[in-house]
Amino acid sequence: MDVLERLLTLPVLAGVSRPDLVRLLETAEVRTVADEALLMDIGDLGEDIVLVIDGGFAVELGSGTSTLPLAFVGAGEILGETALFRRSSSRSARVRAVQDSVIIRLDSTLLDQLSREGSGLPRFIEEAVMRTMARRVHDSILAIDGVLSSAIDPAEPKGALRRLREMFRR
Amino acid sequence: MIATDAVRGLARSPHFRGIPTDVLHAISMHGEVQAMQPGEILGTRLQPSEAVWVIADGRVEVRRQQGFKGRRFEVPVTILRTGMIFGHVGLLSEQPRMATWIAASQGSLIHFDRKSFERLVADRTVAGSAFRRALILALGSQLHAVNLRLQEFIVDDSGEVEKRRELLRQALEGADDTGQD
Repeated sequence: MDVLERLLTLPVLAGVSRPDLVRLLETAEVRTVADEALLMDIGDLGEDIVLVIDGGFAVELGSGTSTLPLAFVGAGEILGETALFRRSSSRSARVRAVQDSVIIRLDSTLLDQLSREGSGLPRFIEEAVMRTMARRVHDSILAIDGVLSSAIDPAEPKGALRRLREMFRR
Repeated sequence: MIATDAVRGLARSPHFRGIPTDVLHAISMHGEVQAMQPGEILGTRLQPSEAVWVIADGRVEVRRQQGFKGRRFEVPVTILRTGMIFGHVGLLSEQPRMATWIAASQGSLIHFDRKSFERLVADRTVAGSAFRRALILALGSQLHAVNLRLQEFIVDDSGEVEKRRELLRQALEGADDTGQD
């Protein structure tokens, strides 16, 4: 896959010049992630974000049989955004590849460096991160509110988790 | 004088900490200082999201709908303190407001209307970058808090209905928590 050509097709980077994307590929880490590989786990340290170039990832909470899928993140979308710019931050969700994928890693140091060089890319990435996070906060509030607005059956308290899953699926 | 008040207000926010005064000044030029009185309604649930506020000084009560089976009431769920940001989730996600905000004390806010906000978000200067990063920090705190509390809810196997409802309420509270943890 020609990563540069792929980047040029991603709506999130529409407006970023070809030279800025070439510079990004010279400085950032591009890697492949195999289907089912764990990319991030709850509690992992790290403040970098991941831009999905190709493929897809499932974001989830919980463990074992009690899990809550929060989102599917595909090409052109961002992962790990909660930790960006927060020093010593730990991951608050688990991210697993659901198909063979290609990603690019970015952190605040790299964004600062590109910014100093006059690249327009950091602005687009920051704006995409902001809007992604706002949407996720909004979706979380809607889902939690949806569960709280109905009674939890005392005979089946775990039914609330099932309902939460339904709400996030919407 | 008004601009000075706004700069001082932004400097109180943990999200704008460390940003040079001249940059805070450039950001503040996009906003307006707004005085608030206790009990004053600052924004109403389900209304279009048209503004973002930073609390320069004082406290703001967040009210959300609670209850079920057709008996839903707006109840206070949390108090936002000096330095916290509100209104940004609806504006950035292009969704109506999901809470009602009422002044809980006398104080002041820095108010960014939609036009000023979008201009700052698209700004290519250091001020734009500082503003975007402040919002990313605020949203990061919110998502982090929600996820941590949802995780507690998911792994809870107590089977106690009231405890499970309380864990969900706390998760909702986390969604309002833009204080840097």
